[in-house]
Amino acid sequence: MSLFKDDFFFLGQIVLQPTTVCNLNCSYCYLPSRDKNLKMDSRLTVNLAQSLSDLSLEYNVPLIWHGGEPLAYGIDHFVKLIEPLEKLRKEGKISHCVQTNGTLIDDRWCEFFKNYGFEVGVSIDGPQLLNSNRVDWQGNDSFNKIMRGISLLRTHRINFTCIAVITNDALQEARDIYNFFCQIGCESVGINLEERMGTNLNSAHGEEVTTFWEELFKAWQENPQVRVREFTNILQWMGSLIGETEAIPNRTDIFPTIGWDGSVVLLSPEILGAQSLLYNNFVAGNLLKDDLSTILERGQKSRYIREYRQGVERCRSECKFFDYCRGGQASNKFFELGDITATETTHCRNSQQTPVEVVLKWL
Amino acid sequence: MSGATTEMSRQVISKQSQVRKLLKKVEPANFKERPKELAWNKGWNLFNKPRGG
Repeated sequence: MSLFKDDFFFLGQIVLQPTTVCNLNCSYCYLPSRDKNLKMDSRLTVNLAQSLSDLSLEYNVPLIWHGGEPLAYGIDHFVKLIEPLEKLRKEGKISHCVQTNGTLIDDRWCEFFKNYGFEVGVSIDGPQLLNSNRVDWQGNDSFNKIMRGISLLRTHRINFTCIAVITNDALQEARDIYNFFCQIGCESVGINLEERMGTNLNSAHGEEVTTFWEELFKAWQENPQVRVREFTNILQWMGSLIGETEAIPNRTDIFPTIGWDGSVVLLSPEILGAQSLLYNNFVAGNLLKDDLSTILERGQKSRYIREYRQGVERCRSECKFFDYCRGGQASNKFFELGDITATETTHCRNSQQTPVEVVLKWL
Repeated sequence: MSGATTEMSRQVISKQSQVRKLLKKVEPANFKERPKELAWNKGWNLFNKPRGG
């Protein structure tokens, strides 16, 4: 059964939002409902399991549990949520990943991660002084709680990766940030320069962005202990140009995000909960009412997706970085420019173009 | 490929020995059991978004 009418899209990974609530209130967070404790019903994962089974995919689809803070859902409820997916997991059809702020990790959660084969990503921005945007709702620093969670992961021998949000204040600190991630024992780190997104109106900017990537790349070259997502991606792409690695497939992950209430948005998790005069709420369907293939079919016909494709075609014809980036992120085009058919965004310049130029220069 | 893209490719090719050397340091341990497309920049540990948790 073909999910897509042509070769533009494929189904790669699925984000799930078990709860909207987060126990932290980070200054740059884009999620509008993180103070509301709205929770996913386990009927939803029953439907998801059936949908994925019906699709008969011949590869593994990662399910990324995100939020809010996914661990705030509670471990007993979480078990009920993922039990309907166990058959698929044991067949190798799905796998679980979680992106957590780490503050709620305890021994039980560690056992849970091991029992269900979770890949764990922790969100932490660097050493304590540079982590000051990650605060709780009373404004208290979360660093020690995150580090306690990381320590438990290590005690339980659970490998983990990290994602760091880098604000303008931290752009001068690339080496300290990289060295920190070497010290805490993570496998890799993804760098998310602060972006204008959702309820957050700030973004990293200025010449310091280039300096940041340069210093980070030099630090990584001197001690390539922890993979940096962006450099890995760029080097893999460069490898394809010299015949060392496979070419980047010319397809886009349709990347469904399933909200706590079953609402499904496509392409960018950040648009869940957003409103637009042109695209309404971006919702392509609801998994409590429709199966996933119906939602994806409907979504491909939506104005939002059609206009995104137009934008990607413009990127293809106008941007010299297209061969690497493949058309930019829908959410950045929408939140920065209000136009899904747009091409270059600040995110493109900060997080795609500049790192490519830096690697090319400092190779 | 546009002219600008071709120029970028030329630069990469001119530094191919350095690229090969650094590629060995980013062995794709996390690419296992992923569809080919995810082995690229939309893959989980390597994926661009979301940033939260």
